[in-house]
Amino acid sequence: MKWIQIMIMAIIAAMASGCDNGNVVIEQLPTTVATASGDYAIDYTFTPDPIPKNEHFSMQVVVTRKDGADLPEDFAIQVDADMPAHGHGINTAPEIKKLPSGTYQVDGLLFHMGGQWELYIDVMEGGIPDRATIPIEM
Amino acid sequence: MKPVPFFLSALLLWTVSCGKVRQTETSLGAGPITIRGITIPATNVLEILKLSPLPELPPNPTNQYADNEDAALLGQHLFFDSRLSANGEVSCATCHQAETDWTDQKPVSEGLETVTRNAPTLWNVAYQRWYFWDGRKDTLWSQALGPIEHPKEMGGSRLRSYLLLQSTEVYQSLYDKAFGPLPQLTSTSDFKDARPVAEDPSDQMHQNWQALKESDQEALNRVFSNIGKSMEAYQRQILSTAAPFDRFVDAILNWKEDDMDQLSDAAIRGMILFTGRGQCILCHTDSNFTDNEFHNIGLDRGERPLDQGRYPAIAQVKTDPFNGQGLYSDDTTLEANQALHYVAPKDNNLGEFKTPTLRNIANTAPYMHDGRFASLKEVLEFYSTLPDTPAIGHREESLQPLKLTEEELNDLEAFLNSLTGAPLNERLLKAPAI
Repeated sequence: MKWIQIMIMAIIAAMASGCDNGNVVIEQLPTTVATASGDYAIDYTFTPDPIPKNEHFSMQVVVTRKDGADLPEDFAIQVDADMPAHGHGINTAPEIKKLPSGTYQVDGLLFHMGGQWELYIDVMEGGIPDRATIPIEM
Repeated sequence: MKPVPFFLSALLLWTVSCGKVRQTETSLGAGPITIRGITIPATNVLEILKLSPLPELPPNPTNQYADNEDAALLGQHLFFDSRLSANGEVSCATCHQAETDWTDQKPVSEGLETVTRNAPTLWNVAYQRWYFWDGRKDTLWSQALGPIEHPKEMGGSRLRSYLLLQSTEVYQSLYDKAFGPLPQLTSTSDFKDARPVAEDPSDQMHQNWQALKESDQEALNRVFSNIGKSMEAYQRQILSTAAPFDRFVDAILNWKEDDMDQLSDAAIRGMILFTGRGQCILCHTDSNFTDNEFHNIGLDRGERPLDQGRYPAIAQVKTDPFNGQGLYSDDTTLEANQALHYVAPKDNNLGEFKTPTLRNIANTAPYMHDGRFASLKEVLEFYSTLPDTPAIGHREESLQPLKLTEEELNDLEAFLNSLTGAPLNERLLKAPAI
């Protein structure tokens, strides 16, 4: 009768997580992160979401300064990711396309293993680097 | 008991497809299962269910002939034809022998000369993302071309391959049906071998290649790529069949208690280790038991020359004229070639080798890229103790000595033995009758 246990647990999980038009929303994680200095806020979305294991995915990043000032012309970002516990990162070089209003399209990301990843968004303004880190459990 | 199949299927579908979840489906959880007194924890159950069955064979848009029957038949002929080699004695089947699960059972292979790596099995080869132990090819059709021209393997050339098609009526007929008429060369020559040898322009084969008209070079490249595409069409049929493990998973999904004995107690315990404390599924993941990527597991140099593995292969695959974004690909779009387009060399690629499938693994000894381990027990003992200093680069740090007991080693081996399916249809194991 183990299947009954499983069914009960799943029903409880479903009730706890909620369901909207057939899409179960289990845990809405924050999609904004600040850089280490706190000077920049970064909103991000993944495509697809959730991130599929061992398949390419994209993200869109919107960077805003906390002081409300516009981003200067020389402002740039880089994106990379690591598995700190494994001693390696991703095997791809993501491509970044600058869009209007502090928005960046990032393509070519791939998390090839399950486990704890750290996704890094490195920002650079006036030669000064700053970093936002997004922890992701695959 | 009947609701279980629907329920588990629904649970799986739900967990993998629904929701705004950054974490994986293990967030949901499922109940443990107890079989003959052995409890499989809930987290293991979810992982186990992902390991079977094999999904539908993925398409390869870079080869529009990948599922063409005439191309597959031509590829099967060529796979077993040693006339592609310089001495007429080496074929693809020399190292990938059908009767020994597409291996040669040697630590490292012997073509015209002894090479430095083990011949990997071809089981489920069409599911792979990269080819060769170092991934220096990105498509199966492109991979097939490498050994034909490798001076230590078959030592042939694209001209020799063309001449073989031209001189063999059944080959020419199949080529015509699959690809259209075999082009006629306009250069006059009396040599049998010609290919570009960029690393040594003084090589006679390169000299011969240079003597050909550019239009003939182009025609030969096109025919050669089609030969590779025909071999891919054949090899796409080398698919593992259901193993006891698959029947066990099916028994769980459909709650067929009578079929729970497909796995022995030892194999069930091994399966729990494999999907749990052993962390084997970090790399041997999904139903082909591979992540199709590369890892440095910390093997020492052994008795072979230093092998850098994945790192230099990335530049090779990016510049290969027969890659998926090259002139001879049938789909050069980014969508069809994301892996090739985005891959980039990283320091951690040094000393990495591709994760092999574990399907039919009990039949494909010896193991590792250089065939250093003669048995599964030796492989498992390596992972249990991790005794080596890596030959180059650094070991994947998630690997820690498992310190397995003798019983645990036996359990894991029993599980790996449960991944062996039935042989393929006899029709695919030899050259077709002419």
